[in-house]
Amino acid sequence: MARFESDVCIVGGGISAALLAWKLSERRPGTSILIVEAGDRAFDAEQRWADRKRMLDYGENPWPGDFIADQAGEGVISRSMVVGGSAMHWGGVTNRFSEEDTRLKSMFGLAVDWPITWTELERYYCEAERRLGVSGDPSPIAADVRSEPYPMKGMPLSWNLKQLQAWGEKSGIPFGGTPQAKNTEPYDGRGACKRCNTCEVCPTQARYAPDWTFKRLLASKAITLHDRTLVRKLVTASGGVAKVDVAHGVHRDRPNDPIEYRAKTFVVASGYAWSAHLLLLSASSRFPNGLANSSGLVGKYMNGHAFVQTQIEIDAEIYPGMNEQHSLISRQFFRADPAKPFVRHDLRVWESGVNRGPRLHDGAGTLLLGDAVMADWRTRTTRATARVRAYYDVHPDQSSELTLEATKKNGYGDALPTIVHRPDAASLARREATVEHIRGVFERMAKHDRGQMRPLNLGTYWDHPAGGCRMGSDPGSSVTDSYGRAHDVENLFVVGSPTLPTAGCTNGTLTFAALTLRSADHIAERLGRV
Amino acid sequence: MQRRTMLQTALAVVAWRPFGRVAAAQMPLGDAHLPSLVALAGAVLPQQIGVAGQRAAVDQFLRWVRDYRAGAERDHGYGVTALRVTPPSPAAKYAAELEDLDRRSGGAFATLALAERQRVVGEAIAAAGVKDLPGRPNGGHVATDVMSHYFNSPAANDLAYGRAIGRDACRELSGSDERPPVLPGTTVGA
Repeated sequence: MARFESDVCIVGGGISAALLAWKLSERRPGTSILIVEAGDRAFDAEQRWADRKRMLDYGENPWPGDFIADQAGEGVISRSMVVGGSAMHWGGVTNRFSEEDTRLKSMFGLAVDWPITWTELERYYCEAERRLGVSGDPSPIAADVRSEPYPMKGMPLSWNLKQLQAWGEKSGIPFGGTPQAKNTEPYDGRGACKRCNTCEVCPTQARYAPDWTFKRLLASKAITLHDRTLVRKLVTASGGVAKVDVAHGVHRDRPNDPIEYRAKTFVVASGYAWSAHLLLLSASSRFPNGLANSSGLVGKYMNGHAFVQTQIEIDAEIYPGMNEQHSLISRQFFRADPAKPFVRHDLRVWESGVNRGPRLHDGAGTLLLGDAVMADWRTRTTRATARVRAYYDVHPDQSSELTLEATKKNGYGDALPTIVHRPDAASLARREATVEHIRGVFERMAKHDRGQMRPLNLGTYWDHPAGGCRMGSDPGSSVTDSYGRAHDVENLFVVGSPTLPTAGCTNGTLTFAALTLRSADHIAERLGRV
Repeated sequence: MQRRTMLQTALAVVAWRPFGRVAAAQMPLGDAHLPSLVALAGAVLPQQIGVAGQRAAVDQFLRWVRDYRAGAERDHGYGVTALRVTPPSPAAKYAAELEDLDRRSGGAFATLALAERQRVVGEAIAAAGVKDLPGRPNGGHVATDVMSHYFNSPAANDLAYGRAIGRDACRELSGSDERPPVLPGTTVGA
């Protein structure tokens, strides 16, 4: 059996692990940091051009092999299992939440308050923006106070987005471009964005991805990275204060040769699905319901946000394909009046090619070939389509959960997870009113420029999922404290998305990153004391 | 385009790499199918791009077929649990469908006038049950796949709008807030 020892063992190699290791290596130089990731390294940046071309031409996976065939769950669980995690192919959108997200209980009597103040979170938002390299422009909403400017000026609005902004603001709603972890100028060793239109596989590395950080940390020997190695169980010492003693892993190429990882501090950074999954798999005679689970809440309160979207056809001079990944956002509806029925959502607008492309039959069903295709297409280039979407705030019920499926196991015999999202009673009760509110906003926008709105598409899943190890001050109603330290286990932390009690109403990655950097400070201070 | 180039493309092999394992199969589209394929392109692609443009589109389509990888991982995207792979190469089906077009024309598809070729193609598409233009070739029918390959290209998008939009092309951020320039040689959209 192979054995490895380190000061800090990080289980999982995604964006949270990258940021945590980066900051720990700065704050505690010389600390031995070992990262164990089940997936492969995808460090060959040159190959991305070829993989991007295969994706465009054939619809192939631009991250070949970024999964483990028998390590799959049911529900909204990304298959991405690679060094860098899901953030290897994220869109780079780095919206902040708003103060309401941290004070839902005290402001609205809903869900729970987060165990940190907005002021403190905001400080870590600034740090996350610096480390990721976020470009953005000041919000037109006065309540969106920032203590520091964005590291880079915002992505210029394309011609198309400028037209859509002019249209959207006719309804009295202010819009701006989304902040993004994409360079608008050379930054931190990476070049400026070239708006290649394929952010899911950025061939220029202008969009931040964790492989950049890992490669740098490896080059400076600040970390050790064990890829292709799945941690299957965390084991505590038999008596005394509960502490993780060892992590049992297995290299995928040597399944019959178990590996032991010993460390002073263990950090689970395995994302919203696999973090709770590992804690539940780590049940023992001392912790029969899973590790860090005296509250019974590991795998509970799985969250995300619901959404409503549609397309609105308008009179506008739009040329589909200029920068389809960049969107407008209005944060006008992030704040809710406590005296009125609760509704919170973001509001996004993208250029769209829907109904603006070539087709085989015209509206009368006549077959189109050759010049007829182009002639028909051109008749539809004189109008434009705006894709509009609102992520709205829903709060999870305790029964919104990740469970282990005893009948579904991976090749090592470990039960695999199933996630079922369930809203709490208040979210369920206001759902219809929320959808009608959003419909009203869309209709308000559609009143301008001869807008014609298509039927609403009510999302059938929760996007930007998080939760499963929610943070809180009360060990009876949460899994970790505000720093991600497990209430029950002295040297065990969970960082990033699993700790979110609620998932806000816009993209969550910047918030995961900010919370992780705050955890890093705390872990660094502990390392100084240990 | 040189006929030799087309033939070289047509006779190339299709690589099959399910999850990294490589297999190869001889491309079933060969020299005998070229006249029909070129004639088909003339019937389903715009005349505006000219014979040279249509030949170039055929060459690019053949290159697409040649480089197709059956069993390759498809994009599993964000939050999608299912793994999917690309289906078998459509090359053999294309060959059979080109031969069918010829049969429907009494062996003279390539020599038919444009309107007559389009009538034959229309019948074949209807018989194949293809209702919509796919986002990329999907093996529905060689005619609609040739159309899909061209009409969904950035070049066709530019032609439709008469502007050099350059979808999916990497370029500097500067100027992105301006209208795309007028496509040289066109007046559409100007």
